[in-house]
Amino acid sequence: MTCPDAREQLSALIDDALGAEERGAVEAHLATCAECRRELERLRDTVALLRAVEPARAPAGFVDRVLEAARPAPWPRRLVRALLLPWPVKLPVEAAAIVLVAVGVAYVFQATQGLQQARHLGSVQPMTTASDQAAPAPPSQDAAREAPPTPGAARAKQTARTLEGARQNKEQAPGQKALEKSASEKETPEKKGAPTSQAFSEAAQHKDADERRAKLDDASRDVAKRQANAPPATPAEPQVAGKLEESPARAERSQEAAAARARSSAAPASEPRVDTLQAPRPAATPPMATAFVPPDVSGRLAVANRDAALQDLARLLARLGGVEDRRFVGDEGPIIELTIPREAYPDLLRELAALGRWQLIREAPALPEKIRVVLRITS
Amino acid sequence: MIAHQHRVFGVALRMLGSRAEAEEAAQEVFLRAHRAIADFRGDAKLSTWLYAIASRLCLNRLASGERRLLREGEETLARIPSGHASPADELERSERDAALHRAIAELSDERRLVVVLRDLEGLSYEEIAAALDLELGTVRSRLHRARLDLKEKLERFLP
Repeated sequence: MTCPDAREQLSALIDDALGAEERGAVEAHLATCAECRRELERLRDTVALLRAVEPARAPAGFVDRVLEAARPAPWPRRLVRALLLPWPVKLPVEAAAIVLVAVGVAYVFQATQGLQQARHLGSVQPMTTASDQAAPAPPSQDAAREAPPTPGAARAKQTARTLEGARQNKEQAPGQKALEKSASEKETPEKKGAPTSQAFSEAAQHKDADERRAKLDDASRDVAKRQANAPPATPAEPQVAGKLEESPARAERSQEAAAARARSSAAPASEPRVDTLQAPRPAATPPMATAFVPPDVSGRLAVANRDAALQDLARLLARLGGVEDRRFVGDEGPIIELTIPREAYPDLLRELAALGRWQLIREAPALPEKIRVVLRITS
Repeated sequence: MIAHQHRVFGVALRMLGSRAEAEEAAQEVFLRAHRAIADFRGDAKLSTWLYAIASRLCLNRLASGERRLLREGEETLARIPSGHASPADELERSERDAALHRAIAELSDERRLVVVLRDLEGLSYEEIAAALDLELGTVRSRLHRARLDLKEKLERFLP
């Protein structure tokens, strides 16, 4: 074995990492080579120096810190991290998402409210017209259902409610339209989802409008017919109207009010209605549902002395089996609503003609068993 | 972990040179071991497995290039002065330790790692070969070259 070969094995010799054969060969060389023995000693000393180095010690608390790092964070903190980190990226995205959802919710809410208002509008707004004009209140389905037959308090309450609703509608309608307009102008992502509800809302409004128009036409025809037949005999709400007028302007307004009423009413205009004058009711408290059914007969009796004529009329009714239902105070004189049996009707006409200047204004083609008559007594 | 923390930290300290970086690396070693515990084969010693992880991690850090920290040795090894030594002995010991640390730090990464594992941590050739995934002959050769380098640099401190 040469010196370089032997020196290559010196570290392994020190570490006792040589096989028996290699070890024997190296030791044989060392026995003969003082230089290599010296080299072995220097190497041993170097290794001794290395092995004398104090072992390093991990800093205090190292294990705890490792365990802390290895332990999963509590779930709230993990959730917050997952949601917010890295916050420069996630925060704006999340804020934008929240705003988007909020806008979407507001839009859908407004659209739905608009829909409700569109329906509400159809039934309430015409009532405003009627109420504002202090015209006879129309019988609507709702009103007919809600209003008790007689109590005036309920009537007043309902009128107040109607006015209130109408006011709200007036206030809300423009805002709603503006909102819908602005919403339709906006090019927002959620608009893609919105047209359905918007279109629905518009369609509903159109439908309502169409229905209202159709009803208006029906009602107009109906009312026009009735007005043509019996212009002076429009029943009135005493506590609202106070008195009946017979002027053409008044008749016109009544017609408008009737049309408006028909618009508001969900029931067909031709449907039979509760008749104000059919059943005797206290004059002061006619319910809302008892309006605008013309009497069978109406006419004007011009007399010299009204009081005497009224007394004569009372006696006449008593004789003929008639009943005075109510009495109003009109511009030109008292207005009497009465019911009389059909068989006594010719006598009534004859006697009225005897009382004064009698003018028959309207007479129904087919007279019922009990004929309702409205008399306007003028001087 | 308590049993192995000083060994792993020691390897990291001698390889990386700073206590702060060594602690960070040692912590990373244990976290990796924790995550990869399923890969641990029972036929190897746990310590050898941890040394293997620590060795790879340190070599990777050293190879990443952005760091060539001070390896002057003033903090690479814990120097516990002997209470019975004279001031002169203390001075000589201090100088020797400084020279030793510098010499170790100046070794190439591969040689330093082998000499640390063998002479400071006491692993056998076989364990080093297993940890570093090297041939036994390579381990022997690298270790011998490392020791020869150190012998040259520490010549004046040898008896």
